[in-house]
This record gives sequence, structure tokens and C-alpha cells, in this order.
Amino acid sequence: MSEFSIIGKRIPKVDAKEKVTGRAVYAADVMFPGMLYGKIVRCLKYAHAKVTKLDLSEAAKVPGVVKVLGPKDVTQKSYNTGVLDLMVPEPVGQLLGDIEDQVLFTDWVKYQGDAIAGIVAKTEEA
Amino acid sequence: MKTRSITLYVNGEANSLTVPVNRTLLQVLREDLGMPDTKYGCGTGECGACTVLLEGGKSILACLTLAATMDGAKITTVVGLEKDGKLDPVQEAFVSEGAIQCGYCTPGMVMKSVSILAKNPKPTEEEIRRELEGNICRCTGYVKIVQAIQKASDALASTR
Repeated sequence: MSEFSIIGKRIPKVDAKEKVTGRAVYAADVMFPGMLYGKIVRCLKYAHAKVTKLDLSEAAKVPGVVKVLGPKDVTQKSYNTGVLDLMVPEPVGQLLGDIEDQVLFTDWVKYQGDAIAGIVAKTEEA
Repeated sequence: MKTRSITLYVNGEANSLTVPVNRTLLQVLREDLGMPDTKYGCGTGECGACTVLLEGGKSILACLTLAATMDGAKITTVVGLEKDGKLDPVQEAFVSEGAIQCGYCTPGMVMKSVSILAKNPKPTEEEIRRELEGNICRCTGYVKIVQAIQKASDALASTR
């Protein structure tokens, strides 16, 4: 039997050198001019709550803030977190019925940390 | 916010800039100097991902260091370890011993390892583990990292 080229051999990870020299680029390292920063406002006080009033006007006044978003602003794109329907053939997906009924921000908080609003600004500090 | 003009020597290159006094060295390195090789892990000094070196191999946490206090400092980050395209023995050992998985802790781990060996060229496993307490790794379980440092220690000893 001829010798194996990979099995039984010590092979360094393909990206080890990039990582050990600090050259590997991670998502948090990506920076370009004019980029905006987004932060999500989360409900940390209650695990089950209804947002009866959302007033983002003070936040919008902070210098550097480009946009403030609430549940009504993000209805164009809905999604589901199941993703199961993407992993199976269409008829099965229909049967499983992962409805795309979630939007980014909600006024019905269902867990501690649920997202209720978003702020987009030119700097992280803002 | 008050500002201060400082010059930082990073990996041998002089960088003069004016910073707000509350800006951290980590922010300056990553954002102002465009050097994302030093990683932001926790920003509160608990994970060690932001470890960089001062002269003499002394390690510091960039997220807790105010840049305004570092005027004139000579700082080494992980990209500065290579010499003429040749990896530092610690870097070589991390690669050969499989001490890297996702690699996010790696820059801080490597810098801390260099500082450990600068102070104590032949550390015991216990000494290595104690010195590494400030550097957290979610992936590897630390075994390979400790082995890499031991390997680097042997490699450095054989070149003396």
C-alpha cells in the first residue's frame, strides 16, 4: 500500500499562518470610510411585555445619529428563525410551515433581550 | 472632551495623532491607525484579546490603556512579530502545534506568550497556565496553546 499524503500526517490548518500573523480579517475588523454603526435597543427589564409607546425623538437629536427605527419601520422584510424550510424540498417546506412572520423590532416583547428599536449613527459613541 | 497630541511607535513606525483623552489604545490602534490585528474581545480587561507589548516584552491590555498616557511608547502588535518574513518561534509553534481554531484569541495569546518567555525562558506547565489566566480561549481548551509555548521555549533555548 502506498503511503498516504494526508492521513496520519501533521497538516497545519490552512489559515493558521494568517491568523497567527494577525492578517486574518474578522467581521469586526472590517472598516471603510463613511461606514455607519447600528445598535439594537433591547428590553432587558421584562421577559414578557407590550411596548405601548415608543418615543425615539430624543435619540434622533443626538449629533451623528442618522436614523432611528421602530417596529413600524421594518415591516418590508420579514423572516423566520427556523430556516428549516430552506433545508428541505419545497413541498416539505410548505408542510412544515415555517412562516416568515418575524421582523427586526417588536412591540410585543417575548423574552428578556427582545429587540424593540434600532439606532443607526456615524460613530459608535453616538 | 480634552485632547492630547501623542506619538506612538507601533512596530517601529512613528504615528503622530491627536486623541481625546478618554480614547483607549485599542481604539487608536484599530480605528485611528487602521490596525485591526489587535482584537477587541470584551473591552473590559477580562479576555486578553487586546494584549500588546511594550519595550522589554512587557504585556499590557490595550482596552484599559488610555492612549493619551502613551506618548512616546514603543508598542509591538502581532503583525510586528515577523522579522523579514520569518515567523517568531512562538508563532511557528502555534501553527505547528494546532493551537489555533477560530483564531480570535490568537493575537492576544501570542503576544502574552512572547512576554511570558521574555521574563521566564523555561516556564513549567503550571507557570504557563497561571500566566495565561488573563487570556480566554473559547475554542481550544488551552492544551495546544500550552504545548505551543513549551515548544517555543525549547526552540528558543536551542538557538541560544
